[in-house]
Amino acid sequence: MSELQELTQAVIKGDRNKAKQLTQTLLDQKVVPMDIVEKGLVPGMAEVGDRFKRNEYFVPEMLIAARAMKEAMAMLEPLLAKAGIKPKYTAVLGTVQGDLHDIGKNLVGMMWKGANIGVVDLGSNVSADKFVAAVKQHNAQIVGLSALLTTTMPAMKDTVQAIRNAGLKTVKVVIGGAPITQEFANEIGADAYAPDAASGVDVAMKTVAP
Amino acid sequence: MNSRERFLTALTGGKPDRAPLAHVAAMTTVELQQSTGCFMPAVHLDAEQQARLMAANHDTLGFDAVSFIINFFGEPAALGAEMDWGAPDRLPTFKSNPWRTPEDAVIPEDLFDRQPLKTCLETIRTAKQRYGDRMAVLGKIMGPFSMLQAMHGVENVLMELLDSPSQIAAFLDVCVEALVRHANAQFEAGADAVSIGEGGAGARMLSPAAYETCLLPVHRRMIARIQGPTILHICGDVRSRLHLLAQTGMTCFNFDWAVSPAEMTAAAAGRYTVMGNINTTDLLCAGPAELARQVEENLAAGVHIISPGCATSPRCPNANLRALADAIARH
Ligand code: B12
Ligand SMILES: [Zn+2]
Repeated sequence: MSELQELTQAVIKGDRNKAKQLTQTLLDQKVVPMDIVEKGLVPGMAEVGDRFKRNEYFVPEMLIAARAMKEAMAMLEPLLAKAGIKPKYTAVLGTVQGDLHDIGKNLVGMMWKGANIGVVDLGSNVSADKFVAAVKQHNAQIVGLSALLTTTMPAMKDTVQAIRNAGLKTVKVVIGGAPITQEFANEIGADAYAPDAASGVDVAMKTVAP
Repeated sequence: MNSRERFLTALTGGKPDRAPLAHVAAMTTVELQQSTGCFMPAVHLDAEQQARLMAANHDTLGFDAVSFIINFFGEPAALGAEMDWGAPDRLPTFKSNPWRTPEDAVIPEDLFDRQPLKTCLETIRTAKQRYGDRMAVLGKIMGPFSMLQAMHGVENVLMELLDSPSQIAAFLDVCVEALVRHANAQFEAGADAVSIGEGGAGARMLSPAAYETCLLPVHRRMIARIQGPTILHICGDVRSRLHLLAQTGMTCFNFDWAVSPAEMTAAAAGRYTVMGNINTTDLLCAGPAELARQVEENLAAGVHIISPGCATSPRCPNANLRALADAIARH
């Protein structure tokens, strides 16, 4: 197994120490940082997402894999920035107002980062205005909204409305969360819905580059 | 049969005159708060008002058994978790996690003199005295895994389950001590049954293997020490764990719409009774016809007790909740 493949395996197993060690080894071998991301980390998170979709992985396995990837990314991000490399797309992500559930949203963020989408994470309990301001400020192509409570589904609708009212015509709205359905997405005028974080990557890519 | 007899008969697998309607997860509505004049968040610390508000679930909505405690985070609040007490349309939630290490996990002697547990026990006493002859009065404790998530942080608990399972085991033992004492105190106060809210161990929250090794023995030990009937609630598609549930020793399982009524009754196979599984999003957004269809499906499958599958939104129209009792009566 090559070191890049080993790095992929370390992410899948959620072995953060091994992931950092291998990232350092690869850097010492003068592998370009972008290759470490795309050939080492990204396939790891993709596999983790698939296993979650297939009910082989559960939230704990996802969390430790995301942690391993995050810690390896922290070593690479300054180098990527120095080389002027930017992700192809930028996404603004958050849980809607009144809702504090952020585990699912965080996993979506990690999967998007794992697919080389830049993520501006606004956290949880985010007002419609904040989403609008962040989309403008970061010139985002994608905005991801999460809601876990039936009580906060209306806030999701208000947020979509606010984005449209602000004249942000090109930004694609992707929504998710346990009570959310495709029907609801249609009803509130969102561009796409995904049932889990792994599908969230495919769906986000399809909306921006159909 | 009155409501209480009907519920207790069905709970233990007997044959009632008709299926009872009950709830264990949080259920109140803004409409009921307006009609009774008892509003969240004040009710969480006022036994008189909490009992009155919850009795409306029987009197107005036609529920045979009512869970008299709305706030799900009673034990963590009593043990020092800061709370956001919510609003008429917002249930309470915790804002801080007081336990960093197992050394922090200590259960004080005066647990039941602390709020909100003092009020919870008083609410059950009041409810039993005042309404106990016409409806079943249910108590409520958290599941140990859910309680630990509030005390130690959700993501910390889930990651440490893989990083350091022995630390999680030590924490869980302390949770069980508090929870057993609380459940038995609720029985002493007059509860007819006590529910165990274990949403934190929902289907995607841990693998069936982790459930079996880390949590099932804890559930079993805890339930064995609780002196009365228990109703366990776990969210989501728990089909891959159904074969383990009988081993918990619970009296009844409250399942949600991710498991079909027919699959649920087949898996239970008479070893425990089942209670479910009306979709709570539909209780908010759909209408009485769809809800009646779900009641029919549960009755046809032999589900013993009809109930919402999980916590309901306070914004649910009374008419939608009332539709459940009406559908059972028509059956
Ligand atoms: C953990 C949890 C909490 C934690 C949250 C901690 C945190 N930092 O997130 C705490 C304990 C604080 C909490 C509080 C409350 N909770 Co809560 N909670 C849960 C629980 C147990 C798990 C949720 C979770 O993280 N699931 C795992 C993640 C990975 O799944 P997910 O979020 O669905 O995300 C996946 C997909 O949906 C999708 N996705 C999610 N977002 C997005 C976004 C995009 C863009 C895309 C593409 C995809 C996507 O991808 C994810 C990964 O595949 C559920 C019950 C359960 N077992 O499901 C209840 C639950 C969601 N909570 C509930 C409730 C009612 C509450 C409270 C009101 C308290 C209460 N009485 O129980 C408060 C409200 C707080 C608030 N204002 O938000 C109810 C909701 C009922 C309803 N339908 O409205 C549930 C169902 C359980 C219950 N019976 O109480 N909760
Ligand atoms: Zn639930």
